[in-house]
Amino acid sequence: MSHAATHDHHDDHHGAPKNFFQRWVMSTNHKDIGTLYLIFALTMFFIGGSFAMGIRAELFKPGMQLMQPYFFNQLTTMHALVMIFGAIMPAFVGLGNWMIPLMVGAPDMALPRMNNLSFWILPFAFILMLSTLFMPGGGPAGGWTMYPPLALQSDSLAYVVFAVHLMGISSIMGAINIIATILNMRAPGMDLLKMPVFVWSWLITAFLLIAVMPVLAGAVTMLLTDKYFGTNFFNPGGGGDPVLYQHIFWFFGHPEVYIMILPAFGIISEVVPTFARKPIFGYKAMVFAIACIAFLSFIVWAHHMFAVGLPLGAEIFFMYATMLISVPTGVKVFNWVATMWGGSMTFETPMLFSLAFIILFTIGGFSGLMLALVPADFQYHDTYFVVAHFHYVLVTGALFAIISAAYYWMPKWTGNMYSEFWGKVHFWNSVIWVNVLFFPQHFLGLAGMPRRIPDYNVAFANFNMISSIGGFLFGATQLIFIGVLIHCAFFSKKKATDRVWEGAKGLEWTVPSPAPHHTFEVPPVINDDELAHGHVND
Amino acid sequence: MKQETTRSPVADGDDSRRRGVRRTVTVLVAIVAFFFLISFVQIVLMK
Repeated sequence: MSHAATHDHHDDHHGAPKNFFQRWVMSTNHKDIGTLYLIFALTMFFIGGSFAMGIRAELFKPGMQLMQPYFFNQLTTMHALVMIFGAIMPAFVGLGNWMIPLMVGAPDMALPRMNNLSFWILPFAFILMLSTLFMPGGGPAGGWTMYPPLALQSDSLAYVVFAVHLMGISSIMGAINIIATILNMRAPGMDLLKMPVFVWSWLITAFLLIAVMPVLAGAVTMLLTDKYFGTNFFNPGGGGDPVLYQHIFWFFGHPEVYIMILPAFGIISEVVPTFARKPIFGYKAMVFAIACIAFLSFIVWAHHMFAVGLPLGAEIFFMYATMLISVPTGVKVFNWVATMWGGSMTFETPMLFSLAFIILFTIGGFSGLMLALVPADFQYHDTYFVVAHFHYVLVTGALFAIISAAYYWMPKWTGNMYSEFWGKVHFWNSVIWVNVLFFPQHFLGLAGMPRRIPDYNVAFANFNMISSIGGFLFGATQLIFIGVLIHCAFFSKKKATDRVWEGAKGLEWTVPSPAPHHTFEVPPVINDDELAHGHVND
Repeated sequence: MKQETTRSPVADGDDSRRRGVRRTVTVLVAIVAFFFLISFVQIVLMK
């Protein structure tokens, strides 16, 4: 401390480039690239959302209304691919880009030029994939899982495989960058066990990405060679087996689910302590629980395949392994509740979205536990119960966490406060309509309505109509979010303070709002009282 | 807002950071290559 100096200009002696092209296309600045990721994710969220509106419009009542069945299948496939790879994942990468260097006291990401490349691959990948919708034969229609032999019948397979390769390369480079940054760029004194939980969650998620994205790349490469180069990896006629694809896909696919939820856990672990004005309960247990979930995610993949005809021993193993995940997940939920217990709580918009996350994600977790049971899964498999389950996990889970993070850090990004009134209007409409949208789908699934069908038995008509009404209103509600974002960024008169939230702790709140273009070029002195987890080892 | 900084610019520790980043990237790229190849090996063995 004796050699510490104070200054108030944050090394911002060279600001952002004035030239638009240089600033946004050539950028190597983690904040600008983070902004690009977030704008891209938001755009994809609305494109994927428009596909969802098409799906719900067709399912509004029984019979064929608006589209041919093959186009409906393209919509369900594209909706999933766009939302998973285009909206949720890039949104988390954007948040990581913006916040990780600020949280660990690093001047930028470890590999800034690779960071630029990671981002700029994505728009090309999605233009390529979405362009297949306008090609003869249409886009992919075999579901986002791309199971052979169905997926091999698609004329657009080569385009989609190339797009998936590009997304994979982008994700892998992003993950390498995040790991290299966290392990090598932390300010002196920022020990691993003093890092914010969000940073921990991203470190573990990045390792998951490194391990599973290459496996997806391998699987889709084999699809490509089966279709165009005469190989028989998955063709029984040539000695192959389509079930092998399912094994290898879900070896990627299940950890992918956690890639989309672990950073969300990190966000909730930042927001809840801030608005409860208490340090997080059980910091080390929270970090260890994330690591446990990540490990378990590698040994549960076949629970997606119970109905395919696995040996009994395998079904029992995968059932118990899957149920085991509820233990570390329960630790996290209980710790969030314990953090709030006795806290001096206030309910600003980020906290409201986080509270909704905790309750609604837990509902998704419970329905997941039901699906983990082999005998029950034979009933639920490929029904709307599964659709309800993963939308509770991914919409009220991952998406709500992303929205919570946006409200939480938006004042730090823009230097302005958002409209709390419109934030709350956005929240209450979202939380009501999302339940109207997805909760009836549990009943539809239990009654036997299969997923991925454009028409259905009249017995399912009422719940489908309710679900569609919820869908349209949930979709419309998100336009309020756009309004809040634009108002906050360009028109808000209320300036944000540096700390923004009374209970906020951590390095990111020690820099001015908006965060200067360059921060921490000279490493900060780490003062344990400033950190959310500074005294964890005391 | 005033914030305390160490008076040691990043450049002082650049070499060790650069070495650390290079080592990390090498290990991670090796893991990526391993998992990519293992997916093919797995399929061939299971067939």
